[in-house]
Amino acid sequence: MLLDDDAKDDDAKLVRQWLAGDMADYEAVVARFQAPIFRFAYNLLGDREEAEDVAQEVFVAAYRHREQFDPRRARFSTWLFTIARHRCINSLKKKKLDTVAFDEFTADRPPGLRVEERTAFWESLDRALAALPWEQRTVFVLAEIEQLAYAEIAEIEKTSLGTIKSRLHRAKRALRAALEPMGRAR
Amino acid sequence: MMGERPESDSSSYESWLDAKRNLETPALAPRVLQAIQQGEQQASQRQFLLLLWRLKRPVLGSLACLAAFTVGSAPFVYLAYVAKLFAY
Repeated sequence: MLLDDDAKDDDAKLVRQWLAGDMADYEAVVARFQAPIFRFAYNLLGDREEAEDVAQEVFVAAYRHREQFDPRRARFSTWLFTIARHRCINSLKKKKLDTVAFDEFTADRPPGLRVEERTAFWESLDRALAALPWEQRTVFVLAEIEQLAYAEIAEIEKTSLGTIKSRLHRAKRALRAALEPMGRAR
Repeated sequence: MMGERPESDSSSYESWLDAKRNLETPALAPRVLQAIQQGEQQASQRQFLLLLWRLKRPVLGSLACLAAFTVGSAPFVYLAYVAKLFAY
C-alpha cells in the first residue's frame, strides 16, 4: 500500500474531519482503511471470516478509544495496524495456534505457468508464509504485501529498524528454502 | 517438469504478492457502525440499571426513613414541650 504525499494528506484530513465530527464521518474512514486492515488480518490468520471479525473489532476499538489517538505522534494507519496486530495475536491465542492454514486460493492465476505449476507454486508460498514464526510473518506481510516503510513497521512492531530488517531477511530466506524442492524437480 | 518452460520464479513470486495485495475486501462500514451503535445503547442501559441499583441501596433508604420520621414526629415533640410548660 504505497501512498504518495497527496494520498497521505487526504487520509490525515479525513481522520481530522472525523475526530472533529461524528459517526457519519467515521463511515468514510472505515471505507478508506478497511482494505489494508482486512488484508493484513487475512494474510496473518488465513481465514476470511476470522479476518472480517478482527477487522470489525479493530474499527470498533478505534472508534471507542479515539481519544487515545494523537495525530502528532503517528499516522492513523499506523495506529490501526497496531490495534489489528494485537487483535490477531488474541485471535491466535484463543485457538492456541502459532501457524495457520490458508483458505483455498481464489484469485485469478497469471498466465505463463501451467495451471498445475502455478497452483503448486502459490500453495507452497502460502504454506511457507503460514509456517513462519509470528514476528517474521507480520513483518513480511507489512513490508512485502502492504509495502509499508521499514520505519512505520518498526513503530507498529515496537522494535528497532535493524530488527525489522533482520526478521524480513529471515522470512524471505525461509520462503526461498520452501521453494527449493520445486526448483530441484525441474 | 516436462513440456513448456515454466515462468521464472521471481515473476511468479511477484504474481503471488500481487494476488495477496488484490484480495477482495468485504464492506465493513455497515457492520462496524451497527456494532458501535449497539455498544452505545448497551452502555446507556447499563448506566440506567446502575442508577436504579444505587437508589435501592440501604443507605439511601435509611436516610429517607430518617427524614420521614423527623417530619412525622415533629408535632408530637411540640405537644410534649407545650405540656411540660403547663405542668410547671
